[in-house]
Parts: sequence; C-alpha cells; structure tokens
Amino acid sequence: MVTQESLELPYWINGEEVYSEITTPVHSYNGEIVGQLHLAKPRDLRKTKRAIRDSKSELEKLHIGEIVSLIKCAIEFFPGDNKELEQISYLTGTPIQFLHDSTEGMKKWAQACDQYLEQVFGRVDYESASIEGNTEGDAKRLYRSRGPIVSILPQNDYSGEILYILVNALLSKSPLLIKPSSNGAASLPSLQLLKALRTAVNETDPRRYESILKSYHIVNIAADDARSPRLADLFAHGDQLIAFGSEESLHKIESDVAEDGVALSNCVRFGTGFSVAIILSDADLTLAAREVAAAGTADKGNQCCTTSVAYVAESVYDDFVAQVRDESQAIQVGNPLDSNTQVGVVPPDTLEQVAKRCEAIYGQRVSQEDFRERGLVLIERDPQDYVEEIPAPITVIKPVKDKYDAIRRLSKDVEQLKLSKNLVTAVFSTDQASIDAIAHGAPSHMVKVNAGSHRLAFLTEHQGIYPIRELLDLTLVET
Amino acid sequence: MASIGTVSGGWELDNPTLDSISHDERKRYLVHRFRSQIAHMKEQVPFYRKAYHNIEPDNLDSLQSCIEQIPLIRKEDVRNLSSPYDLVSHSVRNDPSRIYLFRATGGSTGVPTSMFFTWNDWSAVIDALVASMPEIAEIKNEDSLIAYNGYHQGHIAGPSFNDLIRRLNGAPIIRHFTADDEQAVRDIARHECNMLISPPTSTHKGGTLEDLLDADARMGTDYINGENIKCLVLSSTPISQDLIEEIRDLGIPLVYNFYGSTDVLPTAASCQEHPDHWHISFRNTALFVVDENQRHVENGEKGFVVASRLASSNGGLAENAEATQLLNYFVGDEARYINEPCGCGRTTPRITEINRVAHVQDKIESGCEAW
Repeated sequence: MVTQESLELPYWINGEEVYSEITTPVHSYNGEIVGQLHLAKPRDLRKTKRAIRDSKSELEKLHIGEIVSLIKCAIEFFPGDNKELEQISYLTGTPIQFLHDSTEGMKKWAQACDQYLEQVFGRVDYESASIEGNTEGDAKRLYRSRGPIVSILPQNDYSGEILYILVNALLSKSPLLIKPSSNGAASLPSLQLLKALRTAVNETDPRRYESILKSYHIVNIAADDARSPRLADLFAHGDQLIAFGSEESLHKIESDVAEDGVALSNCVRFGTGFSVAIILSDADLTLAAREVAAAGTADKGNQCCTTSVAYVAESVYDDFVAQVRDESQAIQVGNPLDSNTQVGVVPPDTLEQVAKRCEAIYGQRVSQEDFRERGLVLIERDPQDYVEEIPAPITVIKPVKDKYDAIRRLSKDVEQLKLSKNLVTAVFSTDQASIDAIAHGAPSHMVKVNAGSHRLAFLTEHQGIYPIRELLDLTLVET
Repeated sequence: MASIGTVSGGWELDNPTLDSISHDERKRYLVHRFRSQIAHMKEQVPFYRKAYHNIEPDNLDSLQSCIEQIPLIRKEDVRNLSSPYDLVSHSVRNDPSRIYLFRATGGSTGVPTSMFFTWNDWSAVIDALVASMPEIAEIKNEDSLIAYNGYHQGHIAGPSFNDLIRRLNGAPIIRHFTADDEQAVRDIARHECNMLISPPTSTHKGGTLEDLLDADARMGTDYINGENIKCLVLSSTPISQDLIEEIRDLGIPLVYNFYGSTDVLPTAASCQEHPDHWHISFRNTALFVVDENQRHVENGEKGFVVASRLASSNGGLAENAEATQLLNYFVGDEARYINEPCGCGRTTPRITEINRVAHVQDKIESGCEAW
C-alpha cells in the first residue's frame, strides 16, 4: 500500500533514465506531496531532437514485421504490476480496478497490433501495397512517416493513451517525444513502457534496434515553472503533434506552438468527447440505468467516453431517473486503492474547477460529499439548456419526445460546443428501426447499442480516425 | 620560466608566455605599470591629479600597495563627472582624432558613462585577446578562420572580436541586426563558419550560443558541432556546466570564455582545462579581488572585482594607457579568487562564481554588457 513513499520520476533520453537537479513536487489525490518530477533542461530537449534526427533514417530501414514482433515482445515486459498501479491510483484518485482493466485492455490491443494494421490497410506489410484492379497500369500506395511526433498527454492519462500513441508511432516508424502531464501520473506508465521497449530491444538485437532507443523519449516540463523549458521548445520544424484534451486546451497548445514560429507538419487531435446516451421508450430500463451509471462514473467521470448527458424519452423519464439513482447509490465510492471501489476521488484542484463550472452552468454546487453519497450526481435540465463535458461523475438528464427529438437535441448540444461530432452515443432501444435512425442521424463518431458509452474498442477508429493513417504520408505510384 | 620583457626594454603584450611567468616577475611588471600609469594620470588628467594628490608613484613599492593605496573609482564617480572627457588624457583630449573607438556603458539609471580608446589602447586589447588563445594556431594551420560574430556591433564585443579575428588572419561574418536565431544559423552554415562568437547562456532575448543551438536543433540544420565549428569565443554571461558538457558532446574542440567590460577589457580568459574559470589577464589590464577594506582576498575567498587599464600597445610593447584612465575601477561584480596551479600551465590566478552585485538594473536593461 502506497502512502508517503517518496516517488522520483525521471525523464528518459536515448534509452536511459535521467534525473535532474530541477524538480517539481507531485501530489497525491488528497493533496500530499509524495515525490518529485524531474524536469528536463533546454540541453535535454536539444539532445532528443539530435538523437531523433540521427536515428530517423535507421528507423525507416526496419521492416514492419520486425516492429510488430518488437511491440509484442515489449508488451510481455510491460508490467502494469500492482505496485505501479497503486502509485498511479494514489496520485490520481482513480480506482485501481479501473487502472487494471484499462491497462489490460490496451495491452490486448497492442498484442493484436498486426490485426490493427490489417484493419487499417488490409495487410500488415502496408508500406508499399499494390492497388488491385487499376486499369491504367500497375499502381501502388507508398506510405511513409510524416515526421517525428511530439505527444502531449492529458492529465487523465494513466497508461491507455501512452500505449496507444507509442504503438502507433512504432508502427508508422515515427520517432516520438512524450510529454506527460506534470501531475506525474502519466510519467510512471510512460517510463515503464519505454523500459519494456528497451528490454525487448536488448533481448532481441540491440545493435540492429539501436535506432529504436534513440527514437523514443520522455521529457517532463512544467509550464508554470520558470526554470522549465516552454511547451514550444519541445518541437522542431516538421514535427507532428498528437494531443489529447478539451478543445480549449488543444487550441492553447496549438497557438502556443504557432506563436513561437514552429512549423508543424501535422496535428492529430483527440479533443472533447462529450459522449452521451439516448434512452428510448422501449429501452430495457434496468440495463440502461446500470450502463449509464457505470458509464457516468468510469474513471470518476474523467474519460472522453464518460456519459455526460442522457437524453431520455419523456414516457420513461421518471422511472429511468429513479433507477439510475438506485444504481448509482450502489456504486462503491471512496478509497481508490480498494479493489472494490468503482468511483475514486476527484482530486482537489479538479474538484475546484468542477464546482465552479457546475455553479456557472447549472446553478448547482457539487462537492466531494455529493460524489461520496450519490456515486453519480444527476442534474436534470430542460431540453434546450446548455450542457458541457465536465471531468467528474456528473450526468445531465434531459427529457426528449422521441428518437428524432433526441437527435435534434444532441445535434444542437454538439453544435453549441463547437464540435463537428461527439465521440460516442449509446442508444438503448429494442427497436432496430429506431437504432438505425439514430445511427444514421446522430452526429457521432460511434454508436453503441444497448451498452454504455464507456465500452470502447480501440481496434476500430477513435474519434473517427485511425491514428496510424494520420501519421503517414501517402504517395500513389502508377506505371 | 622565461622572461618576456624588462622594465627598460618593454614588455611584450602579445607574448602568450606572459601567462606563464613567475609570480615575482609578474609583480615586477605590474608595479612598474602602476607606477608609470599613475605618473601619467597625474600629469595628464586633472581629476586624478586631485584624486591621487597624496600618492607618489615611487612610493608604490609592492603590488599590495598598488591594490590598497590607489583609491577605488566607481561608476557613480564617473557618472558625476562634469564631462565625459574628464578621465581622458590631456594629450588625447586636445587631439580627438586620436580617439579610435568610443563606446558607452550602462545608461538605464542615470547618465551613461563614456569610454574611449586610442589606436594603441585598442591594439593592446586585441593583443591580449590573441595572446589568450594560443591553441587557435592548431586550427589556423588547417583551415582559414571564418568567424560568425553574434554580437551587436554597438557593443564593445562587436568590434573587439572582429579585430581579434582579423588579427588571426580570419574573416569576421557579422550578424545582421534584423536576423533572428534561425536566420543566424542559416547564415553560419551558408558562410561555412568554423568559429562562433556570442554570449553563452540564454537570457531568452535570443542571440546566445544556447539560442543558436536551440535554433539549429529546431531546424534540423545540424551545423553547430565539432565537424563544422572548431572554436567558440564566448563572453558576457557565465557558462553552465550543462552547456560545457553539451559543447564537449558536440565535439567542438576549443572554447574561450572572456571576462571584461566596456570600461576595462579583457581582464580574464578561460583555459581549455576549465571553461568556467577565468585566468586573470595581466597584460593591458589588471584585475584584483578585494574585500570591503580594499585588501586582496586570499585563495578560495570571495570579494569584489576591481580592474585597471594598465597599458596600451605600441608595436606590441606595453606603454601607458592613453585615452580613458581607470585604475582600481569597481566593476560591480563579486567573484571567488583561486590561486592554485592549473593543469593548463598558466601561472595566473583565476576567478570563478562571478555574480553581479551593483548596477543590476543597468545589466538587465542594457543586455550583454558587463557581467
């Protein structure tokens, strides 16, 4: 059990951990200082840029099959062991069971990375693929990396996003510089992953795969610390950016980088999710209530696939709300290190922002006690009221007349948030025609049928894209 | 140790072995220079006639007496003068055509101070710079020197390093005043420069070696490394251990770090053994580290830096400094004094851990001027 063990979080350059004399404290979910995050210096950033430039051409020479094998080997060494998961849980307030389940889920995805390539390109060996059926002559698609990647990890990443990005970077033969959040939580799995990759390299062929060690780095910077390099200093011209976060935070990252005159080759954005549920009059309410309660509280409501709003048919509204309240109160809340806990603790700084936002938008105060007592806080609003995604176990409930009204309300809410689509719409209905109508009409990247929005599968597109495809440049060659 | 000059025959300012003479011989040189300079100042400058009225040059019989008995002069004293020429020798003041170079110092608080150099004064500066770089001969033998001077030409470092490069038979390539760091790196590469001249450590205003390294890494030009750059000439700010290691990692063989100010320069230069220590340059200038009672500190102790213009160069031989006269000038820095043998072979003491203690506002406002 992690309590006040001092945690030293280094960064990672050229296959080695680096400790710095410049550190910033990391806090537990209840505000205690539990360790130090070692901050990179300007020299370190230059070192990574040089290493990436030097190793890029060697990386490009590796065969995709070799990279797939290396990934599968590395995953064997990626522990997600209990001690590390406990540390992450203690830092973030996220329930340890959630961490375990999400890590295992992502590891399974990574182990199936060859299937992922088949899904995206129709073959594992995607780099040069003949185009069948071209009547003009022989043709093929040539793919190559658009360039090194800088990935800014969000505060709520504990292993999922980092593994996702690393595998996509490796498969696209793109060097990668990872910048974890300065709360320290994402540093731990990032370090473990690169250690696992180093072990895989050393176990297979260290000379041949030296370029791998020189291509994947982690740097810690703290934007509010004057001793630390700035965000824009992470980038070289021609880099790609992969970032996760709210639309506001993504916009800030892009404008900070642009202000410094850095010319990015590409931005891959995973922004606001605003996942929702639609419960129609013929839904299995028991199932819907259970799934919405689970989806509203997964990772203390802090994921892009968390159910932020439930649009409920008027005819079943009262019944549904009562059942969701019952389901929520049965959810265990509290000590994130208890394996039975389903909703952990919203950290104090997040809670402060959540409380302000709830008061401003909904005129309602929320507190840690509310989450403790109710599990999921339900806020009932009128159909036309403004709603947004809030990083806490809060779900807004809106009544709707029917499936078309639900689609209209959802479209309006998505538009008000200046999104083109939301991430997931979970539809609960027993009528196939209704389900089809919503699947066709909802402005959503994904529609889940009779399952909570939190049940994501990464083998398919995420927010409408396969990241590997975004990271590659395509040239058609015809002869 | 070889003697490189005599009182009567003249001291060779540009002779590198001046850094390796015995302590006694050095003291002999310095006492002679102080005596000669004070006599000149009393004769030529009314201000000093008054300030030194109870100092007889012949009574300065030791280096200690030169340090302790010659009153300190501070920037405020210079600012309070009725004319910027009040510290200039009468013979130069009456013939302004002898002024080869002028630069102002500071200026954000109160009146800027004016510093003047005759051609001989300036030659002594260049002699001292050149003599501090004996290892440069290795590079000159293989390649012509093409040096990118990143200093603003209005700063004393601009023309002094330009003339240093010319004296070394090289070509100075001067940074355009509108060039940002990325353009500077492109120019460095395009002109095939093999030497860089700049302040070392970033102050987030651009133009330093760190900023150029950042730009080189950001653009992927990969020019600033030992394959292309054979020598770094740095000045104006301290150099961090991190940057020293990075320079070594890049394989750049020679690094020179100069210390000095527009008022008195150069007063110290680093050796290849310790890029973050400065060997005091007892040539055209003298530097002492004194306590509050104007006594020189002991080995390992910290004190205040005072510097003196001791000589001009007439065909390489030391004669009196001609234009602006300054002895025991309080530079405004504090430093640690080290008087221990150095692996480089120089016998001159060193200073390190230099910190600004006065005129902080001047420094911030005016940029790369004094420390």
